[in-house]
Amino acid sequence: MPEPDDEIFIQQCLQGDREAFGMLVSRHQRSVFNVALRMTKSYQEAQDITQAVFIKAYENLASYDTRFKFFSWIYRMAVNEALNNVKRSRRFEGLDPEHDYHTVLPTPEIDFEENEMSRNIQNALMFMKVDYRALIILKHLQGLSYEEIAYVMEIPEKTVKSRLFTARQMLKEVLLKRGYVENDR
Amino acid sequence: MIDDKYLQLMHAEIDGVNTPQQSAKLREYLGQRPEAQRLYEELTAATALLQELKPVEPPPHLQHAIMHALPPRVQFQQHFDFKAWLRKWVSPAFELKTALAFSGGLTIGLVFLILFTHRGLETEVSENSKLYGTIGLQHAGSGTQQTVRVVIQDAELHGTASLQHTGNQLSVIFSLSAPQPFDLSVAYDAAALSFTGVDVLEAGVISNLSVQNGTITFSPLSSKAFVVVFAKRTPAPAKIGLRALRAGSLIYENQISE
Repeated sequence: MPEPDDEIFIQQCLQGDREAFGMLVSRHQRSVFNVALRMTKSYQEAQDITQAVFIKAYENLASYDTRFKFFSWIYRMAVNEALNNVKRSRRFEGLDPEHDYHTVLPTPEIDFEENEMSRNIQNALMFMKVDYRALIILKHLQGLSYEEIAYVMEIPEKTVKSRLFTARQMLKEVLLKRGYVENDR
Repeated sequence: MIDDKYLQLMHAEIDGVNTPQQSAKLREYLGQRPEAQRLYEELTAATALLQELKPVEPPPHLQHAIMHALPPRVQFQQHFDFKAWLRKWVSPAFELKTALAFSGGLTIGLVFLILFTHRGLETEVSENSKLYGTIGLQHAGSGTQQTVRVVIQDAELHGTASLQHTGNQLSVIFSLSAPQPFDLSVAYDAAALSFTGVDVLEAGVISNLSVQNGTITFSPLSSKAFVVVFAKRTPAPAKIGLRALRAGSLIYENQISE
């Protein structure tokens, strides 16, 4: 039996069924949490951001535009919340000319990575400007389409493609300098 | 130099959206261009490495924490009762309310009309300088951007480099083309400016991006429209040094200042 669409839970919640919102949280919290985690590289901040996003979604549920998918709306809030978090803390805002690419970044308070390679790839992401980092996360880790990313990032689809191409280029350069991609030149 | 359309095909191939014909066309191109083949392999390898980042499970208590933190009661929008709304408006005060609504709408419309048709005064002053090319200085309306532009007209490189200042952000906007590949170097005073990033326009690509000791260097691979962005640390006018090199030899050099 197929699972109910998000819209059904949203309608139930708008009619006062709080547990219906719990179903939405259960369904989407993992995705939101991972977006926040990859943006901030902090397990604790990812929890805080996830909680803030769902509270905001609950408070603004009546204004949710049903023309767009619920998860896109949630992702938009998650990305904005994570961007604000990064800029507020001024950590890992992006490429820092004072740092060598081989700089070892501080270990997070909770080591959530499976292995050394994933830890290194996450570190490479942190050397990217935060807007480009978001694009890589949404496209390659969350599997969003160009159209969905355009809605989430609130930029035209053409700009999504252009910046994504640049983001891939930046990521390649960082990985090359850290020795994770071979350069046969 | 890699053709723009093949760069787009590369990225589309990575995204899996090429048709069989487009994939074949790309393969043929890559077979003929070792530089393009290398770039494609590097991009593919880099994006493949992202698969190492597996989803992480949130803590088990997170959902409970979220539900516990929800406000106790949210007044969602009530079902719209048209009859009640009609009864409210069809009253002895109907004419007054209609008049007030009309006046309010007219006022809002006039405000929007004024806001969207307003144009700032612009004056343009230009002068020939002793530097190579022509510097045109444009002042936009008060409170908006100031631009200094250098026109580059050389056998080996031509286009424009513009300096644009908005708030505390300084942008160096390039639109360049050359018959042969080149490297671009942008020098700045790290005490006065903080490098923010490079934005590539028109789906272009840059490579070999490096930032060291107040100098940014990179190699434009395709369309040469891109923006180097700084944050200003001081209000003093900023100076930017521009150098273009080919195979280590200088082909163009200039400095632009606010």
